[in-house]
Amino acid sequence: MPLQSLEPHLNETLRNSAREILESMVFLTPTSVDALENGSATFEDEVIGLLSFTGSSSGSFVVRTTEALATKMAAQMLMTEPEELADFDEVADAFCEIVNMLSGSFKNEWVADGNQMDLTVPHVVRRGRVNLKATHEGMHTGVRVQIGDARVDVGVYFEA
Amino acid sequence: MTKNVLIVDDSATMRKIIMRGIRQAGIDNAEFKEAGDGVEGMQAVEAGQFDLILSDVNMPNMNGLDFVREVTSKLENPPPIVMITTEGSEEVIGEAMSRGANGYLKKPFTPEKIQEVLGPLLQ
Repeated sequence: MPLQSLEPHLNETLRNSAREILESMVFLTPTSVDALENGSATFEDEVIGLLSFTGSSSGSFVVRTTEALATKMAAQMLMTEPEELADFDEVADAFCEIVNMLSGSFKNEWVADGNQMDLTVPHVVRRGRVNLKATHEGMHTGVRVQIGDARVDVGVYFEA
Repeated sequence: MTKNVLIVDDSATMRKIIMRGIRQAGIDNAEFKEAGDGVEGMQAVEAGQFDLILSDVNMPNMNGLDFVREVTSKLENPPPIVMITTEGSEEVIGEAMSRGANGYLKKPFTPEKIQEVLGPLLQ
């Protein structure tokens, strides 16, 4: 079932923070950062970063991309070459930090609106399938970041 | 004069980024010790002396807020503690300050911001 969007300024926050984090911490300049209107609650991707939140509402924060781009992002953050990363754990650690920063920025805006939000520690699923439980039909916001030919999708999903 | 800096963060990537950011900010007198969570951080604090502690907030085992409380309650003269966090909410920052933190650096950060916040503490 397609999910709808939350308040527009929350999506703007997500877009701005995605661009800022990628430029200042990952040293990659997005080609474009656009709102992702329709978000499925089931994902299948090469790299999926997840964390859960509770508070005024519960739900999940999801960031997903290809393994090639996740590896490139990790290498950029560590100022090394992708082929010099020893194993996927280094990619996952860097990707978790990106999830952490994106979710933290979203939380700041969410809390500024008078809500509560507690975040779990993020984790990464590699080449897996994720199905979020009972997402609220009207409570989703997301962005798609295009970096050259590759993309990163960022979504916030609230439980019903 | 060399300054001993303890970085407490569960992300090895972020610890490296912080070290690099400090160097990029022109602070070249820092020597670093790393810890992966508050428990490891306390072990480091009990084993050595530090001029500055940088701590994440959201960590497994012992989070940053509890770590600050442990450090300030166990050390007679604790070093300055700066929280490095994505969470810039007044609630989290206020809680950290009330437990003894001296400042905070919000992620994402720039070398200029690092210099502004950490420079005076590492002179």
